Amino acid sequence: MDQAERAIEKLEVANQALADGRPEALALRDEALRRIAGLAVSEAQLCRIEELAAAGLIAIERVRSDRAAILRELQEAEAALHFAAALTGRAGAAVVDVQG
Amino acid sequence: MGITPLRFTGVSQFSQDFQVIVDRTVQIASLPAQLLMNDQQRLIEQKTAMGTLRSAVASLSSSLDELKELGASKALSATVSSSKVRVTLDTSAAEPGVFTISEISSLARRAVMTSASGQASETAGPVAGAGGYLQLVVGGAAHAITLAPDQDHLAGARDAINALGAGVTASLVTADDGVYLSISANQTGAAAIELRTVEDDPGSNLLAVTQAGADAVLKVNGQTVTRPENYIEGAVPGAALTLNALTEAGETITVDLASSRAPLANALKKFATVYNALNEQLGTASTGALAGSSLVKDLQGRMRQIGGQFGEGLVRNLAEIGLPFDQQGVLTFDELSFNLLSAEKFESVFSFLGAEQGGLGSLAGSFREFSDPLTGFMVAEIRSYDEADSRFQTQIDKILERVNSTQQTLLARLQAADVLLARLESQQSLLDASIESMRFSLYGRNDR
Repeated sequence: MDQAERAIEKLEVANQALADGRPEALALRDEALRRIAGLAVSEAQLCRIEELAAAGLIAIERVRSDRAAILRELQEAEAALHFAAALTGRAGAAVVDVQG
Repeated sequence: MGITPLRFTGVSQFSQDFQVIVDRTVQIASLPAQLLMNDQQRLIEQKTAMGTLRSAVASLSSSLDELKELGASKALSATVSSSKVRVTLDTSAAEPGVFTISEISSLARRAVMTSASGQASETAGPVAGAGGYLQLVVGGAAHAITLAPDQDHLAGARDAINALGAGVTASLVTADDGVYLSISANQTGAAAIELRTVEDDPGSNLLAVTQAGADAVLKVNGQTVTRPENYIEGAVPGAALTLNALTEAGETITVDLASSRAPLANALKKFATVYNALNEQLGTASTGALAGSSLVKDLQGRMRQIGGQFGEGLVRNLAEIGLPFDQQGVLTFDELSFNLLSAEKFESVFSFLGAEQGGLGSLAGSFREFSDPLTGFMVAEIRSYDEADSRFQTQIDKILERVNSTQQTLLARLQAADVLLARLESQQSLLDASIESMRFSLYGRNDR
């Protein structure tokens, strides 16, 4: 197996690990990409690398999607805090009762 | 507890957006805490205003009490013609009158006795009679003492006498020629002290007179008064006399108990001041921090009672004693008008102020109901403010704690997402560059 083949396989493994939700695979992917850079590859190998690049774009989109989910949680937190604001009215009423 | 601002340190193209979102979240989450803080601030203002108002009410109550007391005592004061006698008035019992003090022939003093012969030391003896017997006689009251053989000396006698509680104190005096037993009466008066070695035998007395005890003797309005102390109560109604010195032959001291306008004028002037101060504070409170408070309304009602005070004697209202209201409701003390009151009207002022039922001073209690530091309505109100304040603080702390926790958690997750994105974007750039280079190598161009 030549160097290009091993590097491409390493990149495939790293991509799969990322797809499985393991961000620690980023280091492995870094290493694979560094090896691929500057290598002479066959046409078939180039096609595989292009497919892996497309998969990388999908991974980026998935992270963006996860981030959007975090933002939705932020909105939910806001809603919870609005509920806390309602408590203020009840505490204020107690003072009026005392004065009455 | 406050909200700690956090900075987002991500490096992706989205990090700035994240910071905006985090800031906005914290801002919104802080709103209820801010609302609570506003309520808390309002409570603090109410508490401060109520405290200030209570102080003003207490001053008015105290002033009314003073007027009541002066009215009841008819503002009596004592004038004494000599410093040899000092007079302390009990204004609730004193009556106007003139009293003469003469022939202060004796001032009360304590008896002091010392043993006629000394001993070589504190523990030299014996000092007692047969069987260790001693009899202490104080003003005719006899107390038997039996000293044990090993206590039959001066120190033993001293300790035994002091243990009796007979109204005398024994001590030892060390002189050049020996140690002497000294016994002093604890109170002034003519009571003699003897220490006998034989029961009921004055001839066996061990003591010599150092200073004879004496009663105070004087004449009040020509009548002899004898007392065991120089503070003499009961001789002059409502006035206690303190004797400071003997009179000269033929000397007469005059004690004149009479109503005085000066203390009453001072009290009325003070009353006008504290009334106006409270009136002004009530006006401020009713439109300020205590707007709508029922306590303020009640107090305003009681203030109107003062203005409407009506007397049934020669003095019918405040204006007639030199306390007119102006058009703004401000009370002014006109001292000249007060001093020009006729003697009959001045007499009537006392009942207007001091009558138990319906006197101006009797209103003191209705203000004390509010200002009493333990049971007053205003103190109860201030306590309720404290309790509400404590509840607010608890709520605020909880909200702020949650805000901080939420902020920390979200920030950590956003930063993790941002780091991941930045790495992926960087890797993608590297991969794109590699692919472009490979295409060029394979096809001599960077596209197929």
